[in-house]
Amino acid sequence: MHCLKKLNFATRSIQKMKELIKKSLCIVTVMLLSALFLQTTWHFSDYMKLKNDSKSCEKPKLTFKNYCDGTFQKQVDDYLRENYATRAIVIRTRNQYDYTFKNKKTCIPFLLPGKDNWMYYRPGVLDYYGLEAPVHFKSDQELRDFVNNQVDMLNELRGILKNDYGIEILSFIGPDKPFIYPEHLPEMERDTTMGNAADYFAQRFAETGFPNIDMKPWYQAIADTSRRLLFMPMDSHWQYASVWGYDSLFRFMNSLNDFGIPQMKINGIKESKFKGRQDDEATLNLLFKVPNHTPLYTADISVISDSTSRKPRVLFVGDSFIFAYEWLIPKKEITSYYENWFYYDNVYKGFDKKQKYKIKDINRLRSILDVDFIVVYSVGYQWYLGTRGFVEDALESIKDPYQVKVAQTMNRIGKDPSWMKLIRDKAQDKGFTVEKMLELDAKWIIEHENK
Amino acid sequence: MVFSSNIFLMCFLPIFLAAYFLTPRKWRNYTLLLASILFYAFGAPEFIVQLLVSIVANFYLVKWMVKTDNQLLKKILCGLSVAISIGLLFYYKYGNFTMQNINYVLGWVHVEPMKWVKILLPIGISFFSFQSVTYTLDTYRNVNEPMQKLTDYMLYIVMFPQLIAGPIIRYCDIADQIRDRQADYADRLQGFYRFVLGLAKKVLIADVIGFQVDKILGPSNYDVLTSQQLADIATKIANIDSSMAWIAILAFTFQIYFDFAGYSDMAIGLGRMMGFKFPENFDNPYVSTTISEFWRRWHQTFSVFIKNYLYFPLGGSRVKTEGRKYFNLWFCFLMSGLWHGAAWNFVVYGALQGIFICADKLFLRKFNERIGRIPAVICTFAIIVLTRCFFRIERIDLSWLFIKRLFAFEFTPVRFADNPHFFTMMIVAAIFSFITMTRFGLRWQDKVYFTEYNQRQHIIAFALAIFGFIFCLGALNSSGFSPFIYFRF
Repeated sequence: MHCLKKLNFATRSIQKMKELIKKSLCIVTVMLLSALFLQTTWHFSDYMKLKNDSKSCEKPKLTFKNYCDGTFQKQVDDYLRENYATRAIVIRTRNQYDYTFKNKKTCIPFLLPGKDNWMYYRPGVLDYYGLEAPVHFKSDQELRDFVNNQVDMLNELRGILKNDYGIEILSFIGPDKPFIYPEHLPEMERDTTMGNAADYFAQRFAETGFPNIDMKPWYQAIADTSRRLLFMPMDSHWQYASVWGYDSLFRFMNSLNDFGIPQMKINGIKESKFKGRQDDEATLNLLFKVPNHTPLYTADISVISDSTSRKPRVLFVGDSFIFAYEWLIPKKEITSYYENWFYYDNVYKGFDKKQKYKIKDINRLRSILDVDFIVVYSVGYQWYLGTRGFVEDALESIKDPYQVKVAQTMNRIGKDPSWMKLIRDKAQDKGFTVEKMLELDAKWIIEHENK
Repeated sequence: MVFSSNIFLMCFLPIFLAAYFLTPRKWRNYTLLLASILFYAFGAPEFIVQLLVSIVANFYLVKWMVKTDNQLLKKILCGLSVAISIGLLFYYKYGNFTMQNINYVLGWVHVEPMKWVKILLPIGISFFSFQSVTYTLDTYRNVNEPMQKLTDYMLYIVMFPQLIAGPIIRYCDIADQIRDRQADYADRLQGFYRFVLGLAKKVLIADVIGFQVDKILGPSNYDVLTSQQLADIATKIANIDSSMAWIAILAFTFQIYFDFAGYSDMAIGLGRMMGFKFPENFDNPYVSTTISEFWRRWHQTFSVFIKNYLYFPLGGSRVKTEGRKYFNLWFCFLMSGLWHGAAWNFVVYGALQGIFICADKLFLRKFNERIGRIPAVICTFAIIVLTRCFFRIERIDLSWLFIKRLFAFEFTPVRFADNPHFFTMMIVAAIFSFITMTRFGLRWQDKVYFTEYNQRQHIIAFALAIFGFIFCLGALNSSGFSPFIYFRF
């Protein structure tokens, strides 16, 4: 009887335990789903966050109108697609699968894996093999005509800027990773029917006397003897090696008009404290680190200036190599102000980059006339696009006296803090950008001065 | 909102499940009702009022019908209630089609066409209209007591797991469960497993295959296409080689099964989590040896509806002449074809199915019995695949053209390596479609779907379900990832 009771008790306990397990699984299911929801909505954890994620969706705002016409629902779906809780891990797993099992296939179509886990930008590689020019031009003559035309316009612009406003414009051709380290490139068939845009530009600049500094040959020359890599294997951007480039650039700028720019002194190169993944590797968004990558370096730089030194205002028109300037160079000790026209599309004003605009939304002439130097710069393969419309637009506006007057008036107002405060308040009241309000006021002043 | 959408999986489902299980038992129907209304209102806000008004009207009409002793009034009220449901269905689903054809005929006799503003189709109307009809007719026939509470009736019609795409649940099958139902933890878990299984069928198989079908045959809904796009599709079909044509139509045959069966699995699973026992909707239709058997296995709840509420009222097989019997059968399939969509291709599809059903009764079944099981399955599957051409391609002339291309015998080699993901899913789809022809397959199906799991099986299934759920979320969303790089060209 006692045994039977014990058996009964044991059976009941097992039954209870089984029920408890099921209950726990049920609760865990609901909790996991709720956790997914909470993480999707509020993003409590940044675990395995994706690098350079091009999320384009704003969190949708519910209104009666957008709900009734179905826009809200669509926005919610788009937003969730880009923000769901497990997105980072899912995408990293998928990328890792592609990279490991599909011959290093990457999620970035224009990133080409080379030998020994090196990474290159596809257009740079194509340019090295002579395959990039045919993408943009039908013949070598067409490419040459384009280059000549661009350089002629730059010379015309230089004449106006230098003679009428005392502004120097110069160009800077950056080195391309494939030309510096071709030994790790993926194999391709070379096409020799067309030339190289950067070389043609350099040649034409030299012929016409346009101030230009071409860093490619110099970096090619030191690549073999340098103790450290000039480009990192998994990074297509300039790293510490860019400091020589910027040093050359500022010396060259000084040589043009004895401006007295403070000079950089490179005291040494040291290993960077940053232990993260190199830029391209990070953007691949893989689960695991790619093996055999070298450490990053940084330069120890001091700036020499004296009582005769002047910090210039500089407008950079070019590509992402400006980031090296921002990251590695003591920019505030060299320049008093700089503006970056990134790919002639986005505009970043000032050191903190907080003032961000689209190029079409600013008065470009105002910026052009407000600096001491304009540096048009790009790495090799970007020169197929010339100045991306900068020189054309600048010439057109600088030849128009009314536009020049508007730009100069804007600059005059811009230098008056109390006036600028009024402009800012007015812009806020009327719902305009400060830039727009400033332009409207400048036009109003010109019209009333004429009367 | 559909089950395989982000909003459902990531927001609606977690919030609903948490709210439902935290609600005391006697209030759970209200939680479910509220969630169902929100579910419908999110996807189709413009139709929610009309849906609720028609539900209230039907409820009180049926209530009045039950109370009255006047037989004539009873009949009138029953007719009125059915007319509201079917009328709405006809107006919304067939209004455009009817006017289009009337105007075509008017144009033919040189009469000015009638003006007509195109109507949008409320999502799920084909399903909830039918459910509403079963309520009225089952109550009229005294099969079941009418609902006492309006909220219970509303719940029967708008319950979100089955609102959009069925299964079509007869009122008599679920009335008791709405009033009182039990769900233990095992039920809830197995419901969740079933939901994830359905999600996987839809996202991992049907959507992958469907993407390729759309690439070959163009989008499935021709209403939204411009004449230029239609001309492009016609050119594409005219030039398609036979191997590609066979792949396309086979792929569509698998796609539609895994899409619909996946959705039904999700609905049944969700229902089970809440204690509802929804009827099964699919029973391995592609292993049927005859067309009649196929229709008993395919979209079962719809077949049952047609049988009970159309075939039997027409007289069924108890009619005076053989001709009438076959006409009844054929007519039911014609109507079921039209139910699938308001277009002539669906009419042809239904008519063809009807013809094959009649042929089945007359001689095809005997023939299939003689040739043995596997050849019979192949023959039946071939008929299904061929008739699917009229289902997929929404213009009859293009369907014919496509069938001609199928039999043009202009084959070009197709390589697995050209699209390994698609072909892998085709193979997976084929395996899962036909595996129940084997005892092993049947045993596994019973184990996965219908057997109570033991502790160990629960733990394994739970882990697989959670992994499957996250995997499906990834498959739904990961394809569009492209990181932003500050280099542009």
